[in-house]
Amino acid sequence: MAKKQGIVHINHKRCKVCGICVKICPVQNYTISQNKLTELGKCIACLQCERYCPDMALIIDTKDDKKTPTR
Amino acid sequence: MTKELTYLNYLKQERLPHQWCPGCGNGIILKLSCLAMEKLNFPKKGTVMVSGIGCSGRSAGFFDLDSVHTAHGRALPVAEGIKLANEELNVMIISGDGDLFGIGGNHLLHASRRNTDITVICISNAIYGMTGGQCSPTTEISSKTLTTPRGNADTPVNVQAIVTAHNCFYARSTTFHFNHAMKCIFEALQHKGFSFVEIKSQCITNDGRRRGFKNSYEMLMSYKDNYKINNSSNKLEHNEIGIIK
Repeated sequence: MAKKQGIVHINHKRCKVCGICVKICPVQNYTISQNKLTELGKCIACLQCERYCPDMALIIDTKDDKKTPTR
Repeated sequence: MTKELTYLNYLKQERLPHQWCPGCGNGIILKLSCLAMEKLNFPKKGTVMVSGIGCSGRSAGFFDLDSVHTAHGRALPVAEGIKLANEELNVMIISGDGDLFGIGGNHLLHASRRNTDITVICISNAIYGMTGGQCSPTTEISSKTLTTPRGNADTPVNVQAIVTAHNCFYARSTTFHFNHAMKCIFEALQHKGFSFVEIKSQCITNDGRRRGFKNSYEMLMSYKDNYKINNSSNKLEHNEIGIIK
């Protein structure tokens, strides 16, 4: 079974750099540099950050065509 | 192609980002109530959102529904009035603990006695967050705040006893237990009669930093450590979350 991969869309207008996603990510996909959230392309589409983001700034797409669950 | 988050249709997206502090739990609860409404297919025209004063009182303005931002503590009587005027409306309240138990405490007592069909979602962050972090009715014992620098001496209000004394729906959850909190709101919206959902939420700016938390993630994880899900009992202990019907 192929590894699930995700594409991260960060809405920088909404992001307030609270750092919840940086800590909650199981693969350390996010870093904060110069007061801006950046991602490193290691996303496994577990949707934890999308779920706990209080500013609704993150949207995660999975790379395969299967429909991703919304949350 | 970007996946579309359909629950965001219940929000006025042009008003985002909201003005709450970074890491505030209110945004998670905004999202939770949108998800629960989407699950039940609530129409935008037949739903009314009422809120009181405080940080959480601002949430009514973000919903793309008919919404009322009422006077301090008076969210419950206004919501009851709306429901009595038009019984076909779904009436929801999102308000804070200081607004519902502190200033509007007496209204909570009588709203649960009258058992009108409204749903209350209480964002309980155990602090008066907007005014700088004073001790509120739900502040836990020996917790440090602006007005109690040596630790709170009084026990917090027992909301569960007030609401369940009149056989109303009561549920307690936290922002960490995302699915559980959504289930609580989902069942509260379906329940006929007064239903009360208390969601523990983190306030890092005025509460957490005085209690020694470094960021809001640590506060989220403290809910994971401190609260256990209880599905069977008719009474919840202070460290348990669950639903009482």
